[in-house]
Amino acid sequence: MKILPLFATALLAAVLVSRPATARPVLYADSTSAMVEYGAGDMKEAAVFYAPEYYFSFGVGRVELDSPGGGARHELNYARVNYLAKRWNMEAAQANIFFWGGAGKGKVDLWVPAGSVVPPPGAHDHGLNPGNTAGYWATVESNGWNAGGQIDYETRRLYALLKTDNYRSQAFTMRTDTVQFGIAPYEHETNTLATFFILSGTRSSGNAHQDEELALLVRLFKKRAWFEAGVTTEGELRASAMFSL
Amino acid sequence: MKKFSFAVSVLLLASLTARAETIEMNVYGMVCGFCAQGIEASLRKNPATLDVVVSLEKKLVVVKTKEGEDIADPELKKAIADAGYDMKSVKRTQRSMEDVRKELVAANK
Repeated sequence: MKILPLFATALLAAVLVSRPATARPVLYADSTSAMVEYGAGDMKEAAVFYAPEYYFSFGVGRVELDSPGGGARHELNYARVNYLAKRWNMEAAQANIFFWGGAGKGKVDLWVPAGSVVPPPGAHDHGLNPGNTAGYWATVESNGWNAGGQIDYETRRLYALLKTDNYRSQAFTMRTDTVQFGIAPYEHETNTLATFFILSGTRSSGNAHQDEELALLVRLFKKRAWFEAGVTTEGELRASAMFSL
Repeated sequence: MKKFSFAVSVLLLASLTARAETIEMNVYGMVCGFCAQGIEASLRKNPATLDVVVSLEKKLVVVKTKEGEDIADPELKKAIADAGYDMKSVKRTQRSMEDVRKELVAANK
């Protein structure tokens, strides 16, 4: 049963390294932003961040994730701090370097079929549908932390981002590197809809999760609303939204 | 007669300075409408602010102050900095916000 805490830790890793979903972890001084995300794999998330300064924000969030077979239910509550280390404001462009760190507490309700062994956390195979098998629910909690950073460059026509995220706990190490390139078909204004087509590549490594993913996303934003949706090359839906309150 | 002329001059000057001012700032880094909304939010916190217009195309932030009020340059610079941007220059004009908006609409066509 010692392997069970690893599931909770794996959940924590998967969530923490995926933040922030939005392009800008910090908006502006005295701003509050709310973010929601939906994934086709029965993932739901909500988070709220407050920025007392234009270079610093902090917040809390909650994520719920069900495994496709229904054999596991995940919950995570986390806290996160974002810091703008350097900004270059050019005449018609902006570049940024951000760093962030977070910690959280996760809970996994895992269905363990009778007579079977718990699958390894890396496989993330949560077993059979509990309705068809005999077994029991095991609940485990785990703590962990992460740190990451990103550098981005943006004009009204182009967008580029390099991001790395690292997770560590006693049980796991996990790293996710992301590269994104975006292009806008037109130049937006403050009162018009902005549209960017984003090509996003992600590589995950470490003993918790290894994966490579390529996705095409459409990013739309206007005034206080920001929306992004698209599909991966494997046909999985990705969607998120952010609102400045 | 001299006293009368002086009084008239003072009154004339006072009436001119009492008019609402239009402050036009050249600001760098404004490429994202979602993020640049912070500029308007930051400037509207100032009690002297009557109206704000932001143009990404012109790299321009225009503030109309209430009658007889002004916002000092350091305050303007701080408001822009709090939004995460750099104010490069500032000038005061008597243009109406309607004229400013018309010009910006024409520039975006």
